[in-house]
Amino acid sequence: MEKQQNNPLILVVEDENLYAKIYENKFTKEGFEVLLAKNGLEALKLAETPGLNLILLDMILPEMNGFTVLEKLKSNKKTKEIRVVVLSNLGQPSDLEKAKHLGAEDYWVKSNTSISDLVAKVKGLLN
Amino acid sequence: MKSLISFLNKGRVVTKLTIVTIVMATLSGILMITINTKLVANRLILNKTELLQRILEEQTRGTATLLNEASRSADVLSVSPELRKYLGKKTVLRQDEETLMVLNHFSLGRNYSEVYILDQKGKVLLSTDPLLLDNMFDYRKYFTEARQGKPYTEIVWGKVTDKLGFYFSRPIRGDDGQVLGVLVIKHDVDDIFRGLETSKVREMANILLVNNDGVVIYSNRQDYVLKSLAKLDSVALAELETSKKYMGREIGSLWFSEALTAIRSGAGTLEPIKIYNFDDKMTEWVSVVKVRPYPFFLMAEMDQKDVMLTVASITARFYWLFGILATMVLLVQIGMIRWMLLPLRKIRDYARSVAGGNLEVRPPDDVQGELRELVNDIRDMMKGIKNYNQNLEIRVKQRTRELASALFEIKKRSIDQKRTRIAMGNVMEDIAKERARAENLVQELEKFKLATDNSSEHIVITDADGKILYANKAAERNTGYSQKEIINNRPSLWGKQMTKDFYQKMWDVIKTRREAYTGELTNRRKSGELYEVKISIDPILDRTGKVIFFVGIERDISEEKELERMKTEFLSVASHQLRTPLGGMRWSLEMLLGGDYGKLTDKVSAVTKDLYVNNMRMIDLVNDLLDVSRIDQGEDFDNPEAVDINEELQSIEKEFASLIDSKKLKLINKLDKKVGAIRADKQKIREIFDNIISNSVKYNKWNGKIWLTTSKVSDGVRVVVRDNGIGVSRKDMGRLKTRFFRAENAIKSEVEGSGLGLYVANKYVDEWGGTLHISSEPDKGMTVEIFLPHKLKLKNREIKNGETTK
Repeated sequence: MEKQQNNPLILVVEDENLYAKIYENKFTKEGFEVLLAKNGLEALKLAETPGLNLILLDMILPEMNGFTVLEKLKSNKKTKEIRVVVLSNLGQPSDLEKAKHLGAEDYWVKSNTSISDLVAKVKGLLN
Repeated sequence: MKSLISFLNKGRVVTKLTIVTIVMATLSGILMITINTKLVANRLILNKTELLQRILEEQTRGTATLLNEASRSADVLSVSPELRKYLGKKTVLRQDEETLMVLNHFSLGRNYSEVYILDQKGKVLLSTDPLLLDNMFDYRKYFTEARQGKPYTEIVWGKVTDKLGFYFSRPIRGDDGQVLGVLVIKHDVDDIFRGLETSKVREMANILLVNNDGVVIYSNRQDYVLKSLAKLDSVALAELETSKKYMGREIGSLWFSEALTAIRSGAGTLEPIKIYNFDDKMTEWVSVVKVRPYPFFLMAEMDQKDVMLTVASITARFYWLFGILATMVLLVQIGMIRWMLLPLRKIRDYARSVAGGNLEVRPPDDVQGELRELVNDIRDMMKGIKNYNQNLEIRVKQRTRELASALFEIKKRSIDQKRTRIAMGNVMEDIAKERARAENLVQELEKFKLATDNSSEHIVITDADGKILYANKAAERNTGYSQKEIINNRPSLWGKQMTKDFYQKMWDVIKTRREAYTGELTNRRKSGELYEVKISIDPILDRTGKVIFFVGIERDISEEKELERMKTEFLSVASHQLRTPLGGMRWSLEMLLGGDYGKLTDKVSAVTKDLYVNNMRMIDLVNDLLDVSRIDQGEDFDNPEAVDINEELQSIEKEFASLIDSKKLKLINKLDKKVGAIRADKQKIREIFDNIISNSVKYNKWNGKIWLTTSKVSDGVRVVVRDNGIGVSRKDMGRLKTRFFRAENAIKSEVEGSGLGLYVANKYVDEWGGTLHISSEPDKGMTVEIFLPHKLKLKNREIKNGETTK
C-alpha cells in the first residue's frame, strides 16, 4: 500500500496488545497512518520519522516509563515540536499536571473516553 | 569638725555672721601683727646694731687719737741726739742729770707717768720715776721687741706702780744703727678710761677695752675687768705667766668666745653678733673693733632688752589700734544686718501671731521685693487654714454622727456574736466530717490512680493552662519521655508537628467552648520518630463551670494509619489495573456496536448493549473507588474557579433528563437568582449534586417528584434536594455517610449503587466548611440539605505540610 502524503501520520506508544490492535484498526479506518511502538526506546526512534503529526503516549510502559519518554521527546530537537497527547489509565490529577508540565498537549483517560470521542479529539488536533 | 559644721548650719543669722566676722578679723589681725612685729623687731635690731658699730668705731678712733700723741712722742724722742749721745758713751751714767732733764722736759704737761730708758740688757738706766731705777724689765715684751728694733705698744700692769699703763717702747739706735737701748714711755690709763666711760657707746651697751691677749683691761662693768673674754688655752696662760703682764694676778674668764677668737685670730673686727648670755640668762649682741694701729680692742655688749621693750610697746600699740577698729567694724556690721533682717522679723512676728491662732491679724505692708511674696504666701496659707477649719468642723460633726451609729451597731453585734459561737461549733463538726470523707476519698483516689497508672492508654492530666500535672506509664512509653520530664511541662513537648492553626482550633474547643475534643494528629517521640495518634481531650469543670483540669487520652494509631494507607494505595493501584481491561473492553464494544466489525443482528446488538452497560457500570465503580481513595489520602485538591451553582444544577438536570423521563418523574426547581457564583471546584460541585440527584432519581417511585431549590442565605448558599421516594429507616440513617454503605431498602430495591455517593458528597462539603444534612422517613422520601458558605475552605495543592488529618 502506498503511503499517501495527505494521510496524517500518528505514532501510538502502547504496550497492551488489546489497545494496540484497537488503535490500528480504528485509526486506519479513519484514514490515519499508524505507527506502533511497544516501548520507550522504539518510541523515541520512531518519533524521528519524518512527517509525524501526532504522538499518543501511554504512561505505563515497560522499562522506561511514560514521563521519561515524554521528557526525552521534548528535549530532542528533532522531536520536540511534535504534539504529544497522553493516553493513559492513570487518572490522578498529579499525573495530569506532571505531564502537562513536561510538555504534553493534553491528557485523556482511556477508560473514561468513548472511542468516538477519541477519534473526534484526534481529528480536531490534526486539523 | 562635725560639730563645727553643725554649728554653722544652726543658729541665728546675726549670731553666725557676728561670730564669723570676729573670728576672721581676729585671725587676720593676729597674723598681720605677728608678721609686722617680727619685721619691726628685726629692723630695730639692725638699726641699733649698725648704730652701735658706728659709735664703737668712732670711739676707737677717739681712743687711738689719744694714744697717737704718746706714740709720736716716743718716735721723736727715741731719735733725739741727746739720748743717742747718752747711750753712745762708753760708760753710760746711771740717772744722768742732763739726759734726765730732757726726759722730764719731754713729759711736761703730758700724761706720761713714766719715761725711762733701758740698757741693752733691760736694766733701767734712766727714769723719770727714780723708783724704777735698776729694775730689770728684760721679761717685758715691750723690751724684747724694741731691743730687736721693733717699736712696740702694749698695756701692762706696772711692777713698781702696781697700776695698768700704756707702754710705748722704741729702740734707740747708735750711729751704726745698732740698738743701744730702749726708750719706754708709760702713758696713764686714766684719761683713756675716762674717755671710754663717757663714750657714746655707753648709752646703748657695755663697753670693754680688751688687750691683744683677750683680757679685759677696762669695762664699765667692774666684774668684767681683768677677765679673759673666754677661757684661755694653756699656751696663752703660760705666756701671761712669763711676761708677768698682769703681775701674777689671776685672770678669770667670760663667755665671749667669738670675740676672743676674733681678737686672737688677728681679724680684729667682729660685726655685731647675737650670743646667749648664760650667766644673765639673756640674748645679747656683741661686737669688736680694733683700736688701730694699736694691739687692743674695743668691745660692745648690748642686750636685747631695750630693743625688745621697744618692739613690745609698738606691738601693744598695734593691738590697741586693731581692737578699736575691729569693734567699730563689728558694730557697723551688726547694725547693717539688723536693718536688713528687719523685714524678716516683721514676717516672723506675723507668722507667729497667725500660728498663735490669731487668724484676723493683718500682714505687714511695708515689706518689699521677694519677701513680699513670702508675706502673700503666708496670708494665703492663713486663708487656707481658715477654710480648712470650717470644713473640719463640718466633718467633725459628721464623724460624730457616724460614730454614734457605729456604736449602735456594735451593741447589736454583741448579740450576734453569741449566735456565731454556736454556729462555729456546728462548723467544727462539719469540718471533722469532711476530714473523714476526704480521707476516704484519698483511699479511693489511690485505687483510681493505680488503675490509671497502669492503663494501656496514654493518659495525661493538665491544669487549666495546659501544664501537665500527671502522666501515666503509657504516656511515658508513647512519648519516650520520662514522667519527670513530662510533669510540669506541656504536651507540646511531644507535639508541635501540626500547624499553629490546628492547635489553636483544638484549644478553642476545650478551653473557650469547654467541650471535649477528638481528633487525629501527629506527635513526635523523644527519639524524633513521628507517630500518629487519635486524641481526645476532656475539660473537667468545677461547680461554677470553670475549667480546672484537662484530661487527655492518646491512642497510638500509627499502625492503623499505616494499614489504612496501604489499603488506599492498594485501591488506587488496583483501580488503575482494573481500568485497563475495562477501557479496552469499552472501546471494543463501542466499535462493535458502532458497526466497525460489521452489522450486528438485533439479538447480538441487544446482548452487546447489555455487555456495554455493565462494562460502564464497572468503569464507574472503579472511578468511584479511585475518588474515594484519593479523598482518603487527602489528595483531592480543589481547582478553584467561579462556579454558578444554578447553572451546574440545570446542567445536571439535563443529564438526568432521559432517565427522569423514563421513570415518569417530575423535577421541580426553584433556583434563587440571587445565588451567584462562588469560588469552588466545578468538578466536585458537579459530583456532589450529581450523586444526590442521582439518589433521588434512583430511589424514587413511579410518578415520584423531586424538588430542587437554591436560596441565598446571609452567609452562603442553601441547596435542598427533596424527593418522595423510598426514604431511609432510622436504623440506617447514621451510616448513610459512610463508605460503601447501602441501606437495606436500597439494596432490596435492586437499584445499583456503590454506596459512595453520599460519602463523597459529605466529605467534600464538610471539608469546605459547609454542612450536609439528611432527613428522611421510610417510604415518605428523603431531604438532603446542603449549606455552602460564601468563602469555601478550598484545599490548595501547595498547603500540604502539617495538615495530615481531617
